[in-house]
Amino acid sequence: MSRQPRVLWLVLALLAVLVAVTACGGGQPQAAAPSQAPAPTQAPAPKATEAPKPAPTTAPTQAPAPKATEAPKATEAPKATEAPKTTTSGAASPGVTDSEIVIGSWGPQDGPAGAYGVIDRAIAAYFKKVNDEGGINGRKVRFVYENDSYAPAKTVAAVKKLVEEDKVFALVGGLGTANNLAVTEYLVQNNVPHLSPNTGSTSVVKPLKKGVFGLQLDYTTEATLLTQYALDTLKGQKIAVFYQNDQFGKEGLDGINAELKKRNLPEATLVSYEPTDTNFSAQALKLQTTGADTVIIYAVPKPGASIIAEMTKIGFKPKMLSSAVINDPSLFQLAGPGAEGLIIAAWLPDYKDTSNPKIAEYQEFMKKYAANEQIGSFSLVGYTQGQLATEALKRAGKDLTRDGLIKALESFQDWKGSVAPSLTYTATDHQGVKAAYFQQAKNNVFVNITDFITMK
Amino acid sequence: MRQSLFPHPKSLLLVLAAALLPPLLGVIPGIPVGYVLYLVCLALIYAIVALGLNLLIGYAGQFSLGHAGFLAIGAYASAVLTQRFGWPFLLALPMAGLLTAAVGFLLGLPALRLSGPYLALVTLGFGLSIPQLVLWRGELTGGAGGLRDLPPASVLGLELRSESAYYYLVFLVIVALTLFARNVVQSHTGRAFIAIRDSEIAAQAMGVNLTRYKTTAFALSAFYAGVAGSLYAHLIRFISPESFTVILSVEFLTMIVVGGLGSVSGSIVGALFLTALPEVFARLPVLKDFKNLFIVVFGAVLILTILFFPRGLAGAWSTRTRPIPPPAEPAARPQEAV
Amino acid sequence: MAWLTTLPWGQLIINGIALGSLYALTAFGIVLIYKTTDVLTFGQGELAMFSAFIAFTLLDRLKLPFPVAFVLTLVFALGLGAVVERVLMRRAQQGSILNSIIVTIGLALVLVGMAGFIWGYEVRPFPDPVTGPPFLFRVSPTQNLVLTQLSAVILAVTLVLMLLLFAFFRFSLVGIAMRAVAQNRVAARLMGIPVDRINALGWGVGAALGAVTGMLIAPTNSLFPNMMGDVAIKAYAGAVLGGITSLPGAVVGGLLLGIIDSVAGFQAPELRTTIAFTLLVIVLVIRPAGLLGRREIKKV
Repeated sequence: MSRQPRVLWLVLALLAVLVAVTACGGGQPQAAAPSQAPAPTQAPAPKATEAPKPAPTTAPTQAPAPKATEAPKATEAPKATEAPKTTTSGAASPGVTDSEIVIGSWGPQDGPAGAYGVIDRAIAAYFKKVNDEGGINGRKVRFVYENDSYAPAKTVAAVKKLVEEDKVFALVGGLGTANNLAVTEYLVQNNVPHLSPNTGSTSVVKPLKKGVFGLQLDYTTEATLLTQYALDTLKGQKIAVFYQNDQFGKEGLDGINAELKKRNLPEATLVSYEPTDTNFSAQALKLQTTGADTVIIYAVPKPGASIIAEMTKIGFKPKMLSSAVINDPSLFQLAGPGAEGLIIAAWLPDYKDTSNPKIAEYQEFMKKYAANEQIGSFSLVGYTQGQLATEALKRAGKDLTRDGLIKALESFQDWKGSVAPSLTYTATDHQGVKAAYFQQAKNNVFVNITDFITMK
Repeated sequence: MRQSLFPHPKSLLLVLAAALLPPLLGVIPGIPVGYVLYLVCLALIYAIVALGLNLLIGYAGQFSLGHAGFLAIGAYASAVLTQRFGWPFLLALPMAGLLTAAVGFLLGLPALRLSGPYLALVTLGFGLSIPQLVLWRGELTGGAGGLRDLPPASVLGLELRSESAYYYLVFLVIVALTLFARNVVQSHTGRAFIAIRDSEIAAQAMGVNLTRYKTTAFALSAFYAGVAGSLYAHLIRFISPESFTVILSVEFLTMIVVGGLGSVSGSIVGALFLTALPEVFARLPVLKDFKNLFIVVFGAVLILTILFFPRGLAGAWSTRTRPIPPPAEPAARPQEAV
Repeated sequence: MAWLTTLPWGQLIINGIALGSLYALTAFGIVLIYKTTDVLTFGQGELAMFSAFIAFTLLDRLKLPFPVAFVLTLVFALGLGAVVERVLMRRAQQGSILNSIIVTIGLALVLVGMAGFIWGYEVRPFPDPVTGPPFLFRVSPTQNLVLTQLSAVILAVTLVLMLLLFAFFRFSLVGIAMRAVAQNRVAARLMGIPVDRINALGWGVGAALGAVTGMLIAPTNSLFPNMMGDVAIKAYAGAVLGGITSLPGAVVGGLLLGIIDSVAGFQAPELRTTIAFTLLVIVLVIRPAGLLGRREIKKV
């Protein structure tokens, strides 16, 4: 008991010293971090203003520190560690050796969103195929994907691991809107390119961010296309929207209402559900009582299929359109006969449509490299992302750098090599797909009813 | 019976080692410092929640399955205050704690009449409702898109952008809150908590004011979670309603039971252990290739820890230092009603 | 309050009862295990889900007829429950009550993880045990009230099970022994009741009830590892609302919650859970031991 005050002071003194150390030493590794990136020329633009900041503040905090002698010692230590880091990064791009390129990704492999995990596994299978065929410009791809269970706090940890420990060259297909928003700033700061984040939310790709290249049709464009089709072709009079109460659903909803507003039509009637909901009878009833003749669905597969089943059950048969997200192998079995005639605006051909040679090739690939995985939209997305990444890495050439990869992507002009019908990136536009086919469910397959059309 | 600040030289060494962590990590080549420190920060933030939760469950014998809700309130309070209203972080941090404590006080009111599964249900509902309310009041909270690019934490004009700087912030807060928790536990309040836990009627008979101490326990516990929420928001600098799930609340509960109920150090040990577990798993040979097996291993480790260390890891580790308080007795069960 | 009169109450209540019977059915297992072993289990939903997967494998892979698969699944669940009690709970219950709760959470994680590992996380349709057109009740020339045959079956099963279990606890020797064990373990042992075996039986029957639940819920909610997530939470809420030890309470609580859920889901789906729980808190503050539970005896 008599020891207590002494111990307390000891700890406090120590902490005071350490805070001083942090102020100067701790600040510097961070300032040094961006320089780890291979191309110091453009990344530090905002950083440059940041770097000097710690310097002046260190002086006052250092001064009152009790042991002035310790301070210089401490500042030396981080500098020493800083040196090897910068030299290793100066030699070559992180994640690239003569024989290997390291590519990373993240996504949920378990939990409520575990069904999305197949996307990463499909990308992994695609890179296996690429390696079997000799790799890319003489290098094999090593694909490291992390399980974040869909929790943003874990995504941040996963991405820091990928960047700092695995030293990935680039990321492909990191999944989730919130998850992407939590790490995008870090990725941009560290100059790590991220190809086709798995989200249709415009908030990740726009405004333009160096190195972030969206692939899939964004929800806003998709919703606008759907609304135009509902009004112009289907002659819908009164629109109701069934949507998931999150960023995905809200963006779809906003797109629909924006298009209605443009035409001076009244806003759509809204019926939401929570991502955790498992029963949708109340929502189906609500949709019926709104008196809408057209229902646009912004839901993930299971709730989307369930709402169709519930609407059928109570005898409500409106014109139905949906985000292409709904197209999952279980859709027709879960939704029942009510799904017949459902229209989606899809940026990929239907995964079952083997009349399309690209889809036949995809199914062949699945049999050979991912026999245990489900043939469906999710694995098709992963396959497409593998194609995109492979083409971009090829174009970036033998002398692989991150800036080279970004330049290569920005050279994509109406590229038709992937399952997606056409892909264009420019230096000012990193949104890949901007058009969609309208597809209609006929005998449990979605068949194209229009060409690949863009927004009016 | 007052114990010294660090009852065992080991714990002093531990604090010293913890204080030296960032420079030590920096010296060892090949260690991804930012990644490790981020995880440590996250674990310590969870440890702060666990400290508060342990005061509530381990000491006061009240139950909560809704602490992710408190974490969310603290995170959103701090984010909105700094980003929308331009408050300095140093003011927003305690304010987040106090606001959350106020909510905790309110949640403590039903606890005056409820116990056991009934109370657990109320707190579970609270935890489920907070993300819904955040979505509902989107104009203030950013709704489904969350709040992005939160201002970095800053202390006296110094921006804590690096992980090591942030680590010291979290470290100082947790040291302060640990000492505070120890003091509370040993004070009149702490003894009142334990008395309530062991028997409400006996406590009342001894003159313990149930209303006062039950609501205090909830408010205090919420305060910890609120402070942790503020630290969480400024660590990730992005928050959205999806981050605060029931699963997280259950993880907090797991932390204190695995660490040790009614043990201050147990809360910290439990939080560190459960945060480290996935990272260790991801490095195990063979197993790491079966990523979707992780949850099975997690569950199994949880079960084995409880079966073999019924008093938690802290209880198993330091039986010498002090007697472990008796395990929380089940609340008096309702009479049979068939 | 004008909206109150415009709601389609008939269909909302029918939907609510259909939904509520799922909650009540799941709640039975929770109540039974709590009654006999004093443990509040968080693994009931997962036991149901896992059993449903077993049934699915028997039906879909081995092509067994539904009744055979049903019985085999029940036997499997009974064994699983008994093993869980013998291997995990008996030891866990030596610690604090929270230890037991955490072990059930661990069990839930293991079961979800195993299901995800073995069968994958993708959603599958589960064969409907009853097929046929829904029952229609004509209320006006343009409006029918709809109740699917499956919902009717679930409701009937729920009520029959409630009566059976009620009679079991009230009249059978084993049922009375189970109540005795729950009330006072030591006294029960002194009376010559094989406490361990009774506990194992409690878990076994609880798991078997879970299997029934899983096989009846999977056709409506479809089959995937997290299919019981929301249902289990609501079932737990229903059980507590009714008074956690009361079987009729679980039915009343479950159905009431189903109706609240249905109406709130119609009127304000974005606040569905918040509304349900706010009402629940109000009820509990007025009746702290639930609707049909009796007041607690406080021990000193």
